[in-house]
Amino acid sequence: MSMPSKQELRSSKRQVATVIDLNKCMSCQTCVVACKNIWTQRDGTEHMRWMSVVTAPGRMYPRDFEQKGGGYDQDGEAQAGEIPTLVDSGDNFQFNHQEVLFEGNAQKKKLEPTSAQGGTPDWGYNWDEDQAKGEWPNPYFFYLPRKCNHCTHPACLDACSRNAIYKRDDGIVLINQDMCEGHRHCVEACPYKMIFFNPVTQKSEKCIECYPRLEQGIASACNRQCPGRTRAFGYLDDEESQVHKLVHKWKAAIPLHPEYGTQPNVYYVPPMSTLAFTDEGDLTDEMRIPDKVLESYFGPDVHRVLKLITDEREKRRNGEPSELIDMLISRKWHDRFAEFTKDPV
Amino acid sequence: MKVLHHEVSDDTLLNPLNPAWKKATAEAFDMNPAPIAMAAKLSPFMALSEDHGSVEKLEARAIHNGKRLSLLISWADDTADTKIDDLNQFTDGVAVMFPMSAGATATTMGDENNPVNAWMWKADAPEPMDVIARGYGSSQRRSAQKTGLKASAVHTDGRWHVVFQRNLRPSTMAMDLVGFSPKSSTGIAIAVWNGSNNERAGQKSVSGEWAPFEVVA
Repeated sequence: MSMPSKQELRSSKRQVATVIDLNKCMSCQTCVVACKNIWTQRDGTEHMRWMSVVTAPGRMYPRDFEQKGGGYDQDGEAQAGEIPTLVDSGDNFQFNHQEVLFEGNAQKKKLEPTSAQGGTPDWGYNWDEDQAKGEWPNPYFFYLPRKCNHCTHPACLDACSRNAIYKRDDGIVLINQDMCEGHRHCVEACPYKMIFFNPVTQKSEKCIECYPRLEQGIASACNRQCPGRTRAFGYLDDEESQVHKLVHKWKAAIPLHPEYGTQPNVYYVPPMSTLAFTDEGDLTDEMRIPDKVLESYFGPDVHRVLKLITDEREKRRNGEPSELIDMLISRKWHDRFAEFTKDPV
Repeated sequence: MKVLHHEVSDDTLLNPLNPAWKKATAEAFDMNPAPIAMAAKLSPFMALSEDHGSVEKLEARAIHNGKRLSLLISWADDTADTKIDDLNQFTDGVAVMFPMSAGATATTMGDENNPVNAWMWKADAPEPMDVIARGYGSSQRRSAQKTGLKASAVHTDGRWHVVFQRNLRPSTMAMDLVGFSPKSSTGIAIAVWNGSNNERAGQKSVSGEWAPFEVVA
């Protein structure tokens, strides 16, 4: 009974991927709620947002995940990481619905949250929503939707001291709940902090890319439900798919924090940013989000992508065709989901 | 350790603080951080751990009454970590391990061809567990209901006192569970986890290679 190697555990034949256009995300949270409704209403999962959308730059979700280590350094060496707390993970507010709504106190008491850890919350999921950076008249922020990246070289898989994490042939990374004993090395190791501990089952859980839906040709819930048409989904090797065209052909969608070394498979069309005003209130051609901020999220390659989109958009404005811009406009939602267009109903 | 025969009831011995335990000599064990760097292939992340293994000493006593074997482990730990109150917390625990074949090494928890069997107690688990392993990373837990293993624990005056108790012989069906017979000589290795030091899995204190463990008629 010899144990599989990490290389065997992470090998896959194909890779599903998601592309998210940050120029269209409006933080409506529909994707977040879609995921929570299906997957994280069970005991012990209340604090988990496998799909999350927060404001960047900011403390992020889980709080300060970018300072909690994990992943690999430039030489491929594993980096120690920390486990986010329940409050870091967004908490699980308890409300006084009963006394406010059903005991005749609506005029006397306010609806107020209590932290699952007790007391008045001083942090929660999306706490710093819309808190912009920069200075008037040019404040800036963008919304950043995140979920498990189903990485090609997952740190979680390497970290699991029980080999309970594996990658399927379609690229989806899963935690075997029979083998997991909740040691949370995976939580420490994931540099994106997208694995969540369930204190009731005492096992770790994460996004499963809605694989029961995928197996029936239905796109993942977060991807399919997005009303902003920000999402594309499919196999990266499917040359007809938008994910292939955006990631490989046009190279217009790039990974978040590529320096973490795990080769994530959620790709982002970077935000072009609102334009800057002069102090006199005249509009300029300058993007408000500073170069360094964009680079800190996407690496220096972000500038190439923004120039590409700007150039292609200009072509389109002049009446010339642009496959890239047409894809990003997404007139028909079917076009974005490759073979995963089946209706779940 | 020599495990002597005393006519004491199972229930008496299941109480870690019962004076009957004085009949057995305490054997002191020096505990050291598990050599976790060797597990780098299994988990390059866990292998980074440097500050695990806070428990440095423990005491073990053992008594059998012809039917059941009782093992009392006692160690200093200021905090009784018995609950996971936050996602980044771990609980206290102790395990005693026995070789199931002559070639098994304690440090590696056996290997493919040489299994080991351990009894494990965790402070927040209602029952102890049997663990069968063929090398670290391969361990399988089996519930005490199947194996007849019992445990009882008390934390007092900054020390844990944990008793494991089980029939000397497992049921005949259980080929992978350790059995003891009078005049049998085997080995024992002990591991301890201090929850408040984030210890779990390979991050623990260990007693090293097998110490002699002999059941005397």
